[in-house]
Amino acid sequence: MHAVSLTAEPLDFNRDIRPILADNCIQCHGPDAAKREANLRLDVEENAKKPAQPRPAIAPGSPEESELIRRIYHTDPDDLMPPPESNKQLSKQEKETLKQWILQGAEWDTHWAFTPPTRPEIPITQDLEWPRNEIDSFVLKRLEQEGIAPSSEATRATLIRRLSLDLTGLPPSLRDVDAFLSDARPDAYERAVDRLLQSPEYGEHMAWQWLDAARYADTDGYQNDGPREMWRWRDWVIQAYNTNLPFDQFTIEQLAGDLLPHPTLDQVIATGFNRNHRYNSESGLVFEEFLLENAVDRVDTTSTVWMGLTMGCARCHDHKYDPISQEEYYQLIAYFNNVPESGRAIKFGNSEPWIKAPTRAQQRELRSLENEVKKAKTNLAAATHRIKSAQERWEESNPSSKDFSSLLSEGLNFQYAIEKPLTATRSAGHKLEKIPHLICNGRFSLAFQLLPETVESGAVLSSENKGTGRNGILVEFKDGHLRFHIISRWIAGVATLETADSVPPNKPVHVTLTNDGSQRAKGMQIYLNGKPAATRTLHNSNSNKSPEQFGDVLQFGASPHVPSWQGQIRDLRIYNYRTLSAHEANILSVEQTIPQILNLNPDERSELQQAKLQAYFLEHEAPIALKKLRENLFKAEARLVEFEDSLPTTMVMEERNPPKETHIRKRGVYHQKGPAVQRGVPKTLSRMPDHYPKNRLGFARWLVNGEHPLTARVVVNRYWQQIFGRGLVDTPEDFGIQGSLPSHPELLDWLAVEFVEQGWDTHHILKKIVCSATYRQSSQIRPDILDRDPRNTLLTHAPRKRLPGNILRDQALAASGLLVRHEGGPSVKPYQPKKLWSEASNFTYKIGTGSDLYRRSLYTYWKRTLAPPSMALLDTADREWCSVRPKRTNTPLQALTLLNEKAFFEAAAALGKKIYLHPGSTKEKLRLAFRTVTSRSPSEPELSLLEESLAGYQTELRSSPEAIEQLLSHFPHAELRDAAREEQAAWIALANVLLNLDESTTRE
Amino acid sequence: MSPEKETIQHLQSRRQFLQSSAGGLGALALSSLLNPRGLRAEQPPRPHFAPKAKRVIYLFQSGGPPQIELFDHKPYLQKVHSQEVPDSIFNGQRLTGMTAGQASFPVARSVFKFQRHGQSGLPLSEAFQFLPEIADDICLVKSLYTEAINHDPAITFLLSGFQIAGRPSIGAWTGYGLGTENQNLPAFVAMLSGKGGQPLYDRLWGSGFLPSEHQGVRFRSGKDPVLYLNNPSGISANLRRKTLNDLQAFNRLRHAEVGDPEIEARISQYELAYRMQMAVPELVDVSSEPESTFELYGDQARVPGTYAYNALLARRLSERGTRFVQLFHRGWDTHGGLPNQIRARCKDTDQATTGLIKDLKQRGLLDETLVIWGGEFGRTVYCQGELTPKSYGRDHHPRCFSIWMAGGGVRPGFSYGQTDDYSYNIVENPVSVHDLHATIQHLMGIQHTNLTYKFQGRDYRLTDVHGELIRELLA
Repeated sequence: MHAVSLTAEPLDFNRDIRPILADNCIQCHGPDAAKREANLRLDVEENAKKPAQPRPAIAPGSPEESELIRRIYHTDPDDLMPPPESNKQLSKQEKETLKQWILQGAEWDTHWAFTPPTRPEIPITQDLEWPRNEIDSFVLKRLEQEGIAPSSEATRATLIRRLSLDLTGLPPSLRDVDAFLSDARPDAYERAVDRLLQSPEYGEHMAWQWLDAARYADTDGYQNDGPREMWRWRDWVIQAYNTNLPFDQFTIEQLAGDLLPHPTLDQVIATGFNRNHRYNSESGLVFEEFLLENAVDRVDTTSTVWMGLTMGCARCHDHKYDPISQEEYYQLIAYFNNVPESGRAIKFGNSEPWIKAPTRAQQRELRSLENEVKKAKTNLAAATHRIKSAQERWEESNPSSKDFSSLLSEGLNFQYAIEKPLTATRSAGHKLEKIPHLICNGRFSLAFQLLPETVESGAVLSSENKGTGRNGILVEFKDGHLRFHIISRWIAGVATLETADSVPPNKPVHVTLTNDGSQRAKGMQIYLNGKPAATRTLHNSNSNKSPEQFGDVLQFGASPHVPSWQGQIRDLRIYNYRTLSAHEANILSVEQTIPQILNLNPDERSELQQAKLQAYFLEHEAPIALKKLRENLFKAEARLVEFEDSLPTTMVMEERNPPKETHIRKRGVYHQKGPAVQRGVPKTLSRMPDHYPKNRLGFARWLVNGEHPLTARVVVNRYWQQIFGRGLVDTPEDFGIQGSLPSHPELLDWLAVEFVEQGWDTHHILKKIVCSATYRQSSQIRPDILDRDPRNTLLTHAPRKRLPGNILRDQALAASGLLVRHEGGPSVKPYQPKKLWSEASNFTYKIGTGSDLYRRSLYTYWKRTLAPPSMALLDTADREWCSVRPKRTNTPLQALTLLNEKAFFEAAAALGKKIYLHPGSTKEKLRLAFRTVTSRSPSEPELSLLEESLAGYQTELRSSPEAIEQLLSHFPHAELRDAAREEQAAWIALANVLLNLDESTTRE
Repeated sequence: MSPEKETIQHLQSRRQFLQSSAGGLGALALSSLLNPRGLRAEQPPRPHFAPKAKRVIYLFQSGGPPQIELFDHKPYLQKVHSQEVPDSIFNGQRLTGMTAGQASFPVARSVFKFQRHGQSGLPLSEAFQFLPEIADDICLVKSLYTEAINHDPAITFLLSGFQIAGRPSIGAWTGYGLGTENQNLPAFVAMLSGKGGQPLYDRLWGSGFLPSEHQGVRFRSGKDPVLYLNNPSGISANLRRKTLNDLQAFNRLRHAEVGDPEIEARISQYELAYRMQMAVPELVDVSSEPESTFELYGDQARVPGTYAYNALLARRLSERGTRFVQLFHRGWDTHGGLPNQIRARCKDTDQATTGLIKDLKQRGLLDETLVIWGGEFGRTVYCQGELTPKSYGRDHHPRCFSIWMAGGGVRPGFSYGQTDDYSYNIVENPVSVHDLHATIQHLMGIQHTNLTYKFQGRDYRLTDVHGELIRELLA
């Protein structure tokens, strides 16, 4: 860049001076108050020019009176700046530049990116023909200054392939190519652009970059790296792009959708953006530490993605380069640390807070199941009169001889002490039996009548194992309160509720304990005497999924880990697979047995007694038609619950109320608390309007209200990067003092203002870019310019971009016809070499089947600590942290992947078969094959080479029937004659070559 | 100006040139892609000064080996066995969430006895049958400490200098700084062994923000030692050669057409891939090794996937110029049943570790190969879980732990640093993880403050803003 920007113009502070100061001086003479030397700031004009002894650092107009100049030229190493031990050294030219600048008056300017963009005038170029839109005027103006002409337009075949890859991440089909080549309408190009922007593949392609930035993955990313479920958020992103959701709305919903008035399910799902970060589930961790790490990740990611700022430096100290103080950093943390989360992730599944997130189809199904329940209820209610009279007839029949124990018998797997209570003493408990499925990730309920002789301490029921893990459930009294624990591993995997009120001793109490399988304390409930008891959550870290046969034999009155208990239990009921409802708990709490209620005069019965009797009657004694009505309701409710349990969940943002106090953490360490801070935004950036809510919603609005100096620039720069391979600002993650300067500052600002004024319309900006003449240039390298502008900063030609792993795989699948274009849904597991996971972790990768193997790479299951191997080799982002800049490397391992990896080779086999079976001459087939992967016809030399290659492979294979069979076995092939088999195998080898061409793996 | 300084200056200015010309993307190798023309003639990366170690073999013992049973001899513990650890020792330091709630913290002594070995008289545990044979080669550090108390942050810190994911691993930094000696093999290889125990992650040999070509290549047992190394069935070596020739011919035609120097780079990578297809099978085939090799490493060295086999491969890789080889052996996380677990881990590793050092020595390679042995943290003096005469467990302990190095310019037969009677706190010569990194890089000829990479507006280095060379460890 320097090679082309050095001109004789007057020195420009931002372009020529600030980078020198930033690289060499600011670390010790900058924003970091703690490290500031000599109380001198060279990032603040007033400070740099203030009077000082013996002289000011900068005296405008007189270099000889400027201490800065004296010091940079000093010969004594003790006085030389920067000091030699800093390893920094100014070049001769840099020193001259500084001197020159002071001589010219030392004019200062604020950092370009912290000043809001204004719409620059469109430059007038000499050549008025070439520009197709505003972008081109900016680009051409610069080229004209350099005396370079732009390149000619690329061929139409190249253009359609370029557009398809850039806008959808897929190559054009041959039909698309032909349609475009034969479309003679003047707006054929714009039509093609519109078609691609409207295609569902557009949203999928755009989502990929966003997922990289949002560090999206299917696992938690630490240690065990257990699975999580966030695909509903991923699908929200695809949808948002496909409906061209304005970027301001896209922002607000992801950062603060939950805080919008009456948010829709989709708006809450969107907030998963800031739950995609890694989250540690290690047993030994300290909660406070990871509560801070979570908030830090959210702030750092949000700052990088929307502001192009690396705030992270200010975590430990004032930022060394950018004007962001440590206090301001923690003011940002205060927006993002108020999530009701525990600090330790669930080991297997989503960590709180999360919601059920049914898809549209599931929502329809849900409504229909709810309607069925409603209908069943109505039917039952309509029969009230009939039930009443039938029950009266039954009661008159004197039914006292029956067995009445089977009330609420559905799902009742174990029942003890039906007739006579069991008594526990301090010296003797009762071993019952092994009860399966008393686990945190399954539904179960326990209900029993209790007469506690002590409530001070002691185990009422326990299925805990003897070992230190204590796996099992425990119901105990502690200091007068009843506690209900589900323990998957003491102490890291425990959920415990405790009744808020104490339970009186020596007074009968009915207890119902339920769990809904959601792996959280919120899913547990204690009912006392049929009423939900107020409870406290003592532990909420029950993260392990447990096997069915979990825990030891259930004991009454004793536990291997807590003292034994004293008291009686009666009618202990265990429902291993279902959650009793509040109504059912209420009925069970009626102390009187059915015969006792029957003995009461109906007028003397309480409402609850009557309900219990009726429940029994309807379940066991009513005429079949009436029984059916109750049964229908029960079944409808069970179906609803079962369906609800099957629904996907997704992690979301939520606010703790009242908010948590936020403190500065000294040196960024979680337990070194400094002063408390309030939410707020850095002073250097735009002001936060007073009427905005002081929460994430206010913060999100501040980012996209059009006043923010960074947001629009940062976003359009990434769009530019996505299309051109490199941003106008080459450091998309850093627009701060240390970042690169924009190559075309006016163009960047024009695009940013255009984006905001057009309602943050992403389609509009992308269309502007791809419809420009700049974009439509040929990618032919121009030897005369290569030395002058090796990185093509001036955009003298279109870039040739190496395709990343995800697009390469999608392209191979598309070209071979294997691609399954189903949109959205849970992540899938395509081919991966065996044991890659099991050798390094406690998980085993199970390769999917059928269409799972051929979905777009966007849907590939992403285990963070062991990423999909071919993707990782082919330069995709790691997804461990926020990534906004593509990597491009070139290694032999990439060559091996493209040549040999199963998916790539299977695609070659399928493509070989497809071409072979295509009617036509060999020449025609060769043309077709070549066009399929490059979208253009081969030249004559290429065609001869194709012919020779194919013939060569056939010759080579002729002597090896075994190799032929092996090649054909990579993809199911029809029965063929021998000669045909040989030919077809040769096509496979050729397809393998074609999918590895530099041209087919490059977007030209 | 001394020649040493000149080299640094040369490198510095070159680096600055690259950073400015590549707009901050200062990686040497990456630049060759972005700016292939300007850099084609560039020399490969060079050390800042003459290195002692040309290569590293890092024998990583994952999970946290207990220093008290292995290296940090604490006879005093016999006296206070099963007594509570005094508060004066704890000194208010944090414990992990696993034992913080424990009612009692009884001292557990080591079940393994110690004996002095070699000329240096280094006390070593009887858990090691073989290691004493190389006592005089060992440079033991008993006073390493870390800042993390749980596996993921601790192993990430030890291998990348930062607790949170995102930084390049130490092997990636080495490749970035020094390049490779053998174009046909990766510069950085990771090999895994051991079943169960703490999981391992890509990032431990990952390239972080460095270009992904610097990520370690995971060598595996089985048909494909390197991912996708083998041709698909039906593509013979002959046919592959033919296809590669044709591929090259197509790419040359394209190059003539569009003139992109990137295409040349691509052609050469396919050729390298082909050479790697030849080189790797030869490398991993240990059948040509003489019997004496297996006497050194143990019979397990015949079995791919074992620690012993990986140790042998480490020597073979190192011999062929692979810059950084890292073994990972899982299973040192001994929260319970510690004595038996330690016996088993030593059985897995002791002979091969010792054999590797002897083998390098007899081949004259030890002087230029730095071997490092150690895990991510130590273990507590107090018992986790039940303390019985024969068994006990220990929790994670970041405040002190032992690692050792050998060869490559370290001081042999030397022990550095002291811990208190409980092996709980360091009382003499503490060594931080950053100091260790600075020292390792120094041995490789890298001035740790000078090997930097600009990312997010900042010059990053393995040692962040810390790290002091521990001169006492140098030979």
